[in-house]
Amino acid sequence: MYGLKISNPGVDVGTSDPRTTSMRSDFNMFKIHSDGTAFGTIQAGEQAGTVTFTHNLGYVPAFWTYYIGTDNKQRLLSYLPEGIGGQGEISSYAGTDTIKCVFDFGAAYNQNVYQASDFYNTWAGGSLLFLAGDRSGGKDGAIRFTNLALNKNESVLSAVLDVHVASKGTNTNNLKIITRGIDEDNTADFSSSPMGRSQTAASGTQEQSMTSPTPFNFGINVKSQLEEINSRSGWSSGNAMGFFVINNASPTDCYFSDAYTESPNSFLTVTRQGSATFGFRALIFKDKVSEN
Amino acid sequence: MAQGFRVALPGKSGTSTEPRDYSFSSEFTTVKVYSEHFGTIGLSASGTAFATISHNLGYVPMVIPYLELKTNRWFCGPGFVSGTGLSIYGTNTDAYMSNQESSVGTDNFVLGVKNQTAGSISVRYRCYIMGDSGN
Repeated sequence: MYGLKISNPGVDVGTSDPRTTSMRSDFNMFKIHSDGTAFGTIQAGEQAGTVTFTHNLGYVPAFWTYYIGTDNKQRLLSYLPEGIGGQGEISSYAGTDTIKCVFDFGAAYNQNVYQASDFYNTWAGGSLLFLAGDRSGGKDGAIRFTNLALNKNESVLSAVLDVHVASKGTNTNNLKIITRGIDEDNTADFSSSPMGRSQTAASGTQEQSMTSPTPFNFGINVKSQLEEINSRSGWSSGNAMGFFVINNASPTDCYFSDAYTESPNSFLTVTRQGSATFGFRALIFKDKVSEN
Repeated sequence: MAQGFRVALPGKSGTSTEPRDYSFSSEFTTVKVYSEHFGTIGLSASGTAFATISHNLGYVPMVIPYLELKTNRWFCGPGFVSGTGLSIYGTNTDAYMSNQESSVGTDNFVLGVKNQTAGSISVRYRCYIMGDSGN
């Protein structure tokens, strides 16, 4: 057979051992099509980001990809299930025109969801329900969350009280409420009524449709109330925070309630500022992987 | 450099000492593709199946497997497999290459694939058996 063979230094060119030849024309070698890096950004509240390398070869090529960490070190892919430092799932895959590299946090970036630790309402006078509106007259509610990962004076992207409506009144006209924060550094639990505690100046007035069948959820923007509380001199990360939801002349028998004993489903979702940048390197070969 | 053979990249000097300036230099062992294998593995629901690829090199080579773990999405193995192998696994893929079931020996490469779905599927693969040692 005619061809070209180059042996390693000191090795007889007549050798048949592939390991001792630096090149043989009867062995293919990967041919580089492109070698490049690209970076993407995941914004707060987003879960994943994708960086795309376009090759336009029309077939699936052989490729190697690397994840470029914040330490500027490159890790060979195609899959890092626990990302770097246990954060993020990193993967890459090829198609007929592109290589996709994905960084997936598995949850919204810089977003914390807190489950309610305490409920209170002025209808039953107890802590089993989160309730507000008109139920045998105007009634108010309170809700508390613990261990907030929030620095003092930190401005957030958003803060939403996600109210779970397990039951409601018979009146499907709009619920009318005002929401204020409990203006305390680290509000205590609701083993006694919290309704006399100080309220934030920041408030939100809202009308909420009650036509949906239960259960359903609706959101209350509490960003300004949250930021008034975490700007208090005594606030520190890890403290507890609470909110009042106050009836604001709701129609007769128009109210919502969430039952604590049935596993509270009302949450506080806080999205903090910031973004994460991630990078990839893709080495794309001209050699075909797929049959077609 | 003792006597040898070099091919510089376009625009680069044949006397450069920078390895990246060459498409080939006999000073450096080149990773060579000894053989390529394309196939399809059929998998029962949640099952495991194997492909045995013979190379008969008499030593453990580098192996670079690519698998279509989801339709039109091909994933690359980490590259250099020796002994019991390395995993390719994706939580959003239909299947994954199992490091427990895959291995490279002196005569063959056993590719083990696990089905993550509740139905039967087929997984296409292409394996490059390199001429260079993997251990």
